[in-house]
Amino acid sequence: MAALPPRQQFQRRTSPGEVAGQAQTPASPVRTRSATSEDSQTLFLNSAQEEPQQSQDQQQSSVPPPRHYQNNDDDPNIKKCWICFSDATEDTPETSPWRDPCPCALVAHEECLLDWIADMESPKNSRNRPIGGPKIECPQCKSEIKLARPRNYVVDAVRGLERISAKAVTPGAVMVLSGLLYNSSIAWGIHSIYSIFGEDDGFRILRPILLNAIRPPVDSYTGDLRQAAQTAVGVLLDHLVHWRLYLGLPLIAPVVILSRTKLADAVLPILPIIFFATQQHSPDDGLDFAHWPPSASLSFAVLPYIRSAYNLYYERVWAAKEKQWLKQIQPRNGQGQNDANNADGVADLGHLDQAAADDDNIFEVRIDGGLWDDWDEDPGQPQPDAQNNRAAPPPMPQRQPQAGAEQAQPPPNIADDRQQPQPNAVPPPAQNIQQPDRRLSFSPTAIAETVLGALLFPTLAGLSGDLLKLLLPLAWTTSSAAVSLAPSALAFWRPGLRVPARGLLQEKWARSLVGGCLFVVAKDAVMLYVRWKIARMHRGRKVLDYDRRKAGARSGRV
Amino acid sequence: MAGMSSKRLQKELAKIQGTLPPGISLVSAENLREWQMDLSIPDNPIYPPEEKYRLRFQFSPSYPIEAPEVVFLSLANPERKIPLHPHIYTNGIICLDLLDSQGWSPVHNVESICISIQSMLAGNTKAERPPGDAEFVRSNRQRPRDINFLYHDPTV
Repeated sequence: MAALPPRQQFQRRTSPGEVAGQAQTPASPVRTRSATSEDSQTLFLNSAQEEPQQSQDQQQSSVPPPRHYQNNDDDPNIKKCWICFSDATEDTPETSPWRDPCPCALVAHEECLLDWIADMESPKNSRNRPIGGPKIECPQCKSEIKLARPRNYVVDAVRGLERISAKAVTPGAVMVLSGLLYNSSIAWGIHSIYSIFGEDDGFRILRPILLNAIRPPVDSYTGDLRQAAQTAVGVLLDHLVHWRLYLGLPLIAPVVILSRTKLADAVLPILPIIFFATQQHSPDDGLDFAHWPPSASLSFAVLPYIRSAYNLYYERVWAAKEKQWLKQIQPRNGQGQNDANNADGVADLGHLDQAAADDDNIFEVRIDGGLWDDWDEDPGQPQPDAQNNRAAPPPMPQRQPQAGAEQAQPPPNIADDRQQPQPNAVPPPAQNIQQPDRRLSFSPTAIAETVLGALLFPTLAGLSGDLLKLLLPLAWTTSSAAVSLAPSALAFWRPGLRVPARGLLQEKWARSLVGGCLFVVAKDAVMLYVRWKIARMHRGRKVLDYDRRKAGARSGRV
Repeated sequence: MAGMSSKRLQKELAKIQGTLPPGISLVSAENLREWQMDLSIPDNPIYPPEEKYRLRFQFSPSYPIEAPEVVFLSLANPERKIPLHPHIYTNGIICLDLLDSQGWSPVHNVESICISIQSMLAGNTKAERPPGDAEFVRSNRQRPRDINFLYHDPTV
């Protein structure tokens, strides 16, 4: 043991001391001697009191040995690559140079570093990372490791382009979709104008749009730059002049849909005020209240008030009764689960709104104050009214406007507030609002029904207007000058022969307006009657017995 | 760089055969590419001190650039179970950010992985399996390295 080289571990160093100690104090009970080296640790601990003294003795006799490390790991002077774990001592002429890229003590071979960085930047790691990689950080000190890459301008340019185009996808998609919506709204707006105002009036209103719709796009003029510029400016100005048309038409559709909800109640009555405030004083003075028949813009502007008035009337007079009738057809023990969704008379009518009640994907929404099913049409268009009104007089001064009726009037907004009864042929949304617990259920079907009903309404109003024309005496619906001619209200519009109408119903738009109102009122009346009848018939139901006599005869039983 | 991985693995092996922290021991490394270690947890009532858990390390040729695959093994003889931990699934797959391609860096080694797993277990207070464990075990077909775990539980 004495032959052990001094650089051995401290434990071993004391072994000679132990032997010496053993010889000196054999009687100590603490010692449990064993010659095998495995226990040297135990021995060391047990004899801790004595060994240090002996080792000190030994140490005094020799120069303190230099610190030698057992292996290269512990030597701070030898570089160790933290990636491949090999030392500087193992460097061959082929190993790549050492690099020290960050403030902490980690060093590595250049190739190891490059491999690691390449892996960090690879696509599998970077789903959403920007092209070109994120910052490479040292794993220990987190400072950035900088690389010097050779520059190539083409590569940089292409990468820049890629980055930009990646960001442009979403806005592009949004723009396309909104363009889609805008154009479909305009198309539907055009259709509704025609159905309300009829052929001639409608065409007159919409004419500015027609030219723009089929104008070739500006880029086909690229041959001549100046001409292209002029055309572009011309198009722009044209749009600006008729901005009410371009703004109002697409708005018709969403406003009509929204007016079927109670959301509109708060907003709509305000709009006519805007209209009145912005109304210019034009020669065909639409604001002339004293003059009958009223102008188209005036009539439509007044619609929200008519609507509110009707709602109020309905609430006061009929709502309670309707609720009562509905309740009478419920099961007598309390509310059925269809309460939240449906008026139950539906069972008799067997309509598809029932599906809404039983729909699996019903979302229940707690909303204060019920927000559903208004068979409301919206006079939101007074605003486009006002705007269009102003556009028209300049281009068409020669027309004697029928009290200023020309402009793009919105579809008729029939003031009708209805807590939704069952659909008839027309699909209003079939939801019952009278819910004591104020819960609403949405389902996609119901929403679709509302939207469709709203969109169809202008057409229906136009048709009702036509029906009115058929039903009412000619004298009411055509101007006196034209009565002698063919019974066509169109004669009324013959240029140069314009005679101001004497009565409201002589205008197509007026007929549509009144027709729409009457339609709603009639529908409400019919629904009320039906509900009442169903409630009454409810009592008379009987369950039929199965007819056993015939069955018995057939099967031969006695 | 298979050469680099072999060299590094040999170095690590040499180091591990020296001293290891308590509770960690090397079982076998005959195949340089697949090692097995035993782990035991002191001082946590969820894991009895005499119970050991078997870890299997699998190294790819691009180690250490690429993380090794580390899973717990369930054996019958000697008996080894999968430890109960909210981030360890019953098929032995461990949800640890260190083992994922995003959290791994070559500065770690086998020993540091063992220590991390050991401390993850030692500091655990919830004796439960991860949510969705049964479903995961039944339907998982991916290798652990391909699974995208959501590391959002900092308390364990």
